[in-house]
Amino acid sequence: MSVKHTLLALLYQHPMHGYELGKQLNVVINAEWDVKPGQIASTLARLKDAALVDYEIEETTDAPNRKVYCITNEGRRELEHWYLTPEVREYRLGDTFYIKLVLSLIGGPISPEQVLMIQRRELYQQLHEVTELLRYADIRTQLPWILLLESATMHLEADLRWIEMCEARLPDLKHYSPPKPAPKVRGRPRRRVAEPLKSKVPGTSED
Amino acid sequence: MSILHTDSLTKVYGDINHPIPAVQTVNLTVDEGEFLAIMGPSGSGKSTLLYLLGGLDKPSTGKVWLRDADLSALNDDGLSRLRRTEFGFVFQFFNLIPVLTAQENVAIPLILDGAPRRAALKQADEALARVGLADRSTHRPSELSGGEQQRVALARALVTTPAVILADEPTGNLDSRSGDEMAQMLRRAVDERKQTLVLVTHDPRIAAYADRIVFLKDGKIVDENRLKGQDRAEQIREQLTKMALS
Amino acid sequence: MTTQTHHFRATVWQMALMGQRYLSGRKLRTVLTTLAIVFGVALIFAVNLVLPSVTEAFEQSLSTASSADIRILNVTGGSFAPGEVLATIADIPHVQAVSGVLERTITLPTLADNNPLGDIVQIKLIGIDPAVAENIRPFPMSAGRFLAAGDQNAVVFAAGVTELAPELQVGTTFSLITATGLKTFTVIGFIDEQGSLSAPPMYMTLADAQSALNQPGLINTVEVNIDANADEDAVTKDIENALGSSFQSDTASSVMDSVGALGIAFSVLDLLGFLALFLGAFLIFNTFRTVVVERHHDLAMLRAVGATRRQITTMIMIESLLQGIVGTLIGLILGYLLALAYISFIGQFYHTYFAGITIELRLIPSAVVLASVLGIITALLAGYLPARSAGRASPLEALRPATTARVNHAARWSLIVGVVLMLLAVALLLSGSSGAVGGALLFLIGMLFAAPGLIIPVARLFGPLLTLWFAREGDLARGNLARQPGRAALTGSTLMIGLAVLILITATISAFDVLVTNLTNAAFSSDIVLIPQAIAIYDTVIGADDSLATRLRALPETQTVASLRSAATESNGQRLQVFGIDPGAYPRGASLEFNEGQPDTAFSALASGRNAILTPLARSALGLEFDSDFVLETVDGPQTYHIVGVASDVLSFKVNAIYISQDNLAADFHKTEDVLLYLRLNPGEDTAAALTDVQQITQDYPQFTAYLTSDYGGDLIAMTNNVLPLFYALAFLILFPAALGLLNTLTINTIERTREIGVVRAVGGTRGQIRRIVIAEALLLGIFSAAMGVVAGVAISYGFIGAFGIIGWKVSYTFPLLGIIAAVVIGVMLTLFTAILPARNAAKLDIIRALQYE
Repeated sequence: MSVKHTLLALLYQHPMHGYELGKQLNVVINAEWDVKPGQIASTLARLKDAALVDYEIEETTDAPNRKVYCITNEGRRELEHWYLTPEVREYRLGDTFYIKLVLSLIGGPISPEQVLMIQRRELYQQLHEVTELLRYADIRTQLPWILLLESATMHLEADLRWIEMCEARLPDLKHYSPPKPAPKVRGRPRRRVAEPLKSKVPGTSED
Repeated sequence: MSILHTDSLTKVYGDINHPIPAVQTVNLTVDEGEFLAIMGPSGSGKSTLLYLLGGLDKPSTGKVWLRDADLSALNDDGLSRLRRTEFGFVFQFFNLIPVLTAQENVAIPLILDGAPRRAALKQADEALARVGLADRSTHRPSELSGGEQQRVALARALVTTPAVILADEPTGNLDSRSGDEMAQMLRRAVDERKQTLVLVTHDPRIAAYADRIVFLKDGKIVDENRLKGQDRAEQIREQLTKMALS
Repeated sequence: MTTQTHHFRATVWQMALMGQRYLSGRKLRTVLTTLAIVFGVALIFAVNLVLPSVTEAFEQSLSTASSADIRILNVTGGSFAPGEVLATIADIPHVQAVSGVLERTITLPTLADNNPLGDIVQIKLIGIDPAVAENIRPFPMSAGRFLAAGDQNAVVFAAGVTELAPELQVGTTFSLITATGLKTFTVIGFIDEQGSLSAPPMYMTLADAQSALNQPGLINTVEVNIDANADEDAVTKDIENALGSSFQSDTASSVMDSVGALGIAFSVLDLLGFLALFLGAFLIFNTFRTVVVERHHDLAMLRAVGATRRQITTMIMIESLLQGIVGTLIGLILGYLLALAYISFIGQFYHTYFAGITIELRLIPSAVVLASVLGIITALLAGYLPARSAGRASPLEALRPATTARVNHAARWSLIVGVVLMLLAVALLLSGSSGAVGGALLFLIGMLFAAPGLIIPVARLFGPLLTLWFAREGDLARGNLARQPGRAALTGSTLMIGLAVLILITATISAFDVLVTNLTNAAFSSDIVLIPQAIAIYDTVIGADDSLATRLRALPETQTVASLRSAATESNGQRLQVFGIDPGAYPRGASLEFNEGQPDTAFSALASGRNAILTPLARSALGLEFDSDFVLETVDGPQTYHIVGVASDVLSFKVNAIYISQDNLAADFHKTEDVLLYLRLNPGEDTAAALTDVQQITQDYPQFTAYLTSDYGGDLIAMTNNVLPLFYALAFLILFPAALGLLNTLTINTIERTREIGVVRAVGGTRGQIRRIVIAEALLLGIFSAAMGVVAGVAISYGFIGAFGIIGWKVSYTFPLLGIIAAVVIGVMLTLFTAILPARNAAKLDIIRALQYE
């Protein structure tokens, strides 16, 4: 999450001091734990250095002076730019389940069918629980939470669909044999030069 | 307490030379008040299984029991009576009779069973109110949206307070929002009135509402998920939020 | 919870509601289907309303209003010598009084305007012996006096006659046709009673009557009174036994015999009514079969929510019942209007009978019940099979309609059966025997059987033709038909029958036309013909004695005068008309078309003994052969006659009649009046001038009108031609059910291929292409049906014309080329027309819904 841009967006509404910013941030992300105040402060400082925000000192009688931050024009432009720039998703190649499945295909104590089945069961359980949460969420007051839950739902659905696809491909996958690394050449080198190791990790995007 | 029970249920289509097994020796038990989802790829036989459970189709071999009534021992009239009083059906399409109003469509099972018309229509109105369509009772199906039509179908399935509701891809023709609503209404029926629901679907989101999911492949049950009794709401909250903030 | 008491009512009411809504949801088809029932009910209702009314009117006009206990007539209806007969009867125990009467109902020709007889068209001339008559019944007078012995040219009317002829009073004189010319009569009194108004009785002395009818010394009726306490039937039997088989008591004889043509018309209309009902049944069956397929989802749904088989069946039956009820109600109204139209038409046609009376169209309850019951039962029966099959489908079958992809092997079987039947039929047709009509029907049936098996080869034959026009769609269409040959054949069959009947009717009409024209042209070899006012119903005509013929012969331009005389009799229980001709003069002045026998030998044979020439109709009706003997009832008892020829002319070919010599007619039937005269002029004479001369003479014989034969022949032909459009209209009516059958089948086909259509559209087929596929398929079907229809039509028309020959109406078969062309054109146009709606619906199908269709 970009704390920097979140603060800018909040300041876009109206100027706030640091404490207020912290509270608003928590409300927006509906978080049970706070973003550390220190993180907020340092981010604000960086923003000030970049001239994206500015502050005024507010003098109060019975409290220490506090800075009231406001967004600058530069800051507004930066914010707009952030909104207009889509978020790029990274494909999670490092997914642990994925590795587990591939390994079970190569050979392991548990068959790939079982691995898939177990994972699917878990996904359905999660989907069930998220659905339950969704049922009891109040659309009038918890819309951001609902959006989040629905995002989770759909991701779970996507994962489930992928599991189905893998199940359907199992007969093909069974014939898959991973390339073996070329054996290290021992003894006197022959005339032929050993070929450089070529192994492609399946799943990388094509060139 | 089981309400539906099958014993080596098998259904084979085609002739002796080219048999097409749709359901193969399925042993399934459905408890009273349970929401069971039957899932599987197309051609897995899930709809066939559903129809066999509801007595719409006769098995090649094996039996189906509703409580302690053996469906194979009933003749067509007996099965029809069951369908009027103990089963409620919701299909994917073409649920409603186009020349009848919503109210009449819902009342049809009661009228067929011999109820006086006025009383049947009144009950139908109540059922329509339960699915939120009280104000559309005099509309014909052509004047209703897809989601509304399915809700009327649901009202019809509920109006006889059947023991078991059987639904075949009831949300298949609906958009996600309407589908969700339909699933929620089904869930409510099970929770509030202790009705049993067997639902065939390929949509995981709808299946997620169920208490148990049974997976069918090539006519056989290959897996089962019991979804109740894991209260991990808090964990999920944390997980999701963390994911969102990263 | 099943409450049996409410069960039926609520369900039935709900089903009736549904039925009514479904019906109004497919208005066009409902209307078309109901039409046939409407027609059938209307026709049957009309016929059954009119028939009793007309019969009653006829009987009234021909009835014998008499208050004698028993009336004795000669079996032939002719006149006889009174002496022995009266004496025999008088001897029978319990007979109190016997009176000899000579009576005849005669049609009065239209005389001058100020004729005191006013509106009277028919009278009943009754000649009585005043001395004896009052022993039979009293004659209370309201004015003047009754007849007395010795009265001459005096008549007494019933007082009611003044309603028709207000100018009649005691003392009025008027002219009356007699066989010996016009005579003047005086009214001397009025009997105090109403009397029949259709043929008011006119009493005169027996002597006057005998003179007027040229039957000196003869009577034709004996009125008998018996003791009050005697058994009438027993005495009647005694009298009949005593008199012998030549005499019988007066029982109402079939009135329809005397007006054969009318009777035939009624039978034909009744037949048409049943045919229409049958077509109605077929239509309902066909439509409801379609409906069941169309609605299979709804039916499946009802079964799924618990409707029993019987409830489904009941639902469909109620729907067809609704149609039956509506059709019957409309049919009853239409039938009543039709009956009114019939009455006025008949009244015009037979004004001689009905001018004096009005035929009352009474609403006869039995006719209402009959027509209603028939209409409703037809609808119910027709709807039963589709209803039952709808009920029998399991909910699952109804959910997914069976799309039989496998070609019907049954097609091969029925092809074999059909071809065998057709070959048999052809053999029958060519044999020329009475099996020809059966052969025609058999051919039709054989074709129906063969049709499914023939579709594929015919489709293959015409497919390439379609491909020229429709490109790819032609192939698709061909494939579609081949997959369901049974249904295609059934549909095609309805059109095929319609077209075959159309061809049959055109062929028959043109053959009939040719027949009449030939007969007319051939038969009238005379130049001038004198026709009585009621032709063919000669009994009611007072002909002329030979004074007319003599005066005609006296004209300088006359070469020959041939006259026709008439009597009626029975042979073997069949009523026959007997014509008396002069065997010498007749062939010279008129002519007969001979089917069997030679004119020369036949005519001369008539003069030498009891020989007769039969009309072909009489020959087949009596079941006799040329050159055989038969027994004829004459006034004096049965006589044996020998058949020397089978012949007819244009006026007699439709009648059961025989020709004998005038001498024999006088001897055996005591008839000597001429009722028809033919005149042949010297060659080169001025026919117009001759006609004028003749008309001068006929002024004294107002019962005759003189025509130039050529004019009269032309009138006859024109009259026949006037009836033709009616038959053509009927032929077209038959095509309506064919059209509906086509519409239904194309609709079913389209529904069952919804998924396929979706696929075609999804892979890029345009709406236009879909439309063309449906139209191509319809066209193929239409061509197939037209081809079959033409073959069938030619075959059965050949059979029918052959059947004419059996009856004796020899007609040569003219190939109905025009009819065939018309049939093909109509067939193709009809199919194209009925294809429009299904084609449009198929093209309008939403792709997604079509693809999801299971």
